[in-house]
Amino acid sequence: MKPEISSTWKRASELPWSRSAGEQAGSLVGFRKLNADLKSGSLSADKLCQHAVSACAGLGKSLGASLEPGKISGNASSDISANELKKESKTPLAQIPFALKDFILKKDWVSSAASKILSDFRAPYSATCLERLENAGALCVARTNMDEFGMGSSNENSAWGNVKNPWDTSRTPGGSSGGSAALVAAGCVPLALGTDTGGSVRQPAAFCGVTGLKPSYGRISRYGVISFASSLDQVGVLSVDAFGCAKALEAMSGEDARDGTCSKKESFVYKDLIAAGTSKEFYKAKRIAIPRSIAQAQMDDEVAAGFKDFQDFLKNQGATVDVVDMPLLPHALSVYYLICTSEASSNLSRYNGVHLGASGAIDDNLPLHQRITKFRSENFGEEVKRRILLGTFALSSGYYDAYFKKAARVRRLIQQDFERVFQSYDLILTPTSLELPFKLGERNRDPLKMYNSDVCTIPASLAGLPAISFPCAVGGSLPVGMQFIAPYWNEQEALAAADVYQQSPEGYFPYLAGELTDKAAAQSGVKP
Amino acid sequence: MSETSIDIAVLQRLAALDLPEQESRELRSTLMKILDAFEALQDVDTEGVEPLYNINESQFALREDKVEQSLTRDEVLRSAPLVSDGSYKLRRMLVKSGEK
Repeated sequence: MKPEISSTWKRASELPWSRSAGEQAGSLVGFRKLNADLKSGSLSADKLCQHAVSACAGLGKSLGASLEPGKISGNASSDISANELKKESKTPLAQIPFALKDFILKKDWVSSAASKILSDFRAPYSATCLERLENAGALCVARTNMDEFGMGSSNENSAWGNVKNPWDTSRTPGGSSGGSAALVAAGCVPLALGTDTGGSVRQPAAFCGVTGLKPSYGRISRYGVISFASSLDQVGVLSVDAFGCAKALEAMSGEDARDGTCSKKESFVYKDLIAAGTSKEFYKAKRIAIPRSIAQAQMDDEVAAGFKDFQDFLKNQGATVDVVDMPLLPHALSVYYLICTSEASSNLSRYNGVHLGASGAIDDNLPLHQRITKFRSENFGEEVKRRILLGTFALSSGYYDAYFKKAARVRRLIQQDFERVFQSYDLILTPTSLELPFKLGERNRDPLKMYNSDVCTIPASLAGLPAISFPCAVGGSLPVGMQFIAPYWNEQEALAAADVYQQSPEGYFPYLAGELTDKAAAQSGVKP
Repeated sequence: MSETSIDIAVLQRLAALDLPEQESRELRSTLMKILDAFEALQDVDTEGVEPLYNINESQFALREDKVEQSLTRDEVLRSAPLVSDGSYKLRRMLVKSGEK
């Protein structure tokens, strides 16, 4: 059976959120256009949803990005009742189909964290973030592949196989939210949820040429999100543009009594500078800092060129761009990997094969502890075991002070580094990744090299800061992503910075989605 | 920390993981390499710096203690591999003499 990419669009470049070449400057593009078309009725919600379901099941599956829809009986499309589709388009998210990372629970769907150990775990309840998005009218149509328990930067650590980058199927989409990023990039859905512990939303967004937001720590409830490293994990959004991310954040943010780490502060409301007509003023007199260690870092030529171009854009808009010293930043990688592995070793101790988990290994008569050990050894993947053991070491007697506690102290110094810079600057700019998407299989034998992929995204995670990745250029037919980091709780600044750029005539907008869908389909051997 | 040494057998026992001999040797050397790469951390002066364990440090996480509908017993047990009479069923916990 040939999977159908799109029953509703002959050419994927006619996707409602793409910007065709002939379109006039000043007209709506991206998520705004999608909203406007749904509202005016020029785009049928029914067709949009059908497209998303069939594209996720067809192209999404051939890219390795979609997992089985998740329901034990039936599939995602039957989940979306006719009633839901008839809902009035009241909120900007009404009738918007979205994909869900396999890390976030949806009641009755399988939520496996891309691990064998949870292969038949059906969620008994839904995550707060998902519930809120659905209450705003959005429709969950697919479950996306990821690195096992969020541990990876290339999506090659999934028990269900790797994901291919729609821009070039021999390359990684990034990780760990690689499936979510690939589905948005390939035009299957305009919105997807991911999670970001050290860059797992932003790095795949950069590698796939889409926009990815990691909010401040505590902005979105983690209730119903499978834990990797609790002091770092945050739900994030991937979308066709910053406006889409902003609308999803509005719906999901806010206090939740079921998560003690979720902040009690006000929910997020996006101030739309485009609608207010003040976007031209945004960059005037903005002060933007680039950390010296990043400015001096070795990076791919294409990334360096995109980085420079973008700085020129900022200066032309009237912004000041300075290189600043952040002396602790080079230690962020070590701090991150000691803290995240320590927290993971504790969080993942719950997978003992008693309360939940794969039922395969129960037919033996081993004593309990041996059985637990066997169950874990057989069902966790290699990288997960490596991190559990590294974390166990960092927390173990005799090494706790020198590793875990030391890392936590340096983490505070890194946070103070950021606070100091934000006293004189509005935003921090870095490339999201120093390199273009690398080839699949290129570095999964070298964990240290793989860990290095996260060097630009990790610092904001350690300090709990909001950060956004957005495409700024294409280098050698692969996308280049920029990252803005904003002060704590100031998602507005990061989102507006990306939004204003994406809506400006100079802005590189990922309207390639259409061509990409065709290209990826051809490479994967799926016929449109 | 030049005196750092990894007893991979102890770590495996603590983490309830059991790797084949060869894999375990390789893993030990990978972990040593990772720790070596992290060595520079020890040179950072952290005298008097309080560890940062969580971003929302000041938050008081207690809520009012009131009865609410939660998951039913069946919903919770649905995910368990082995269930008996509405409870989790465990394998034997006692070990025969002579058994490991």
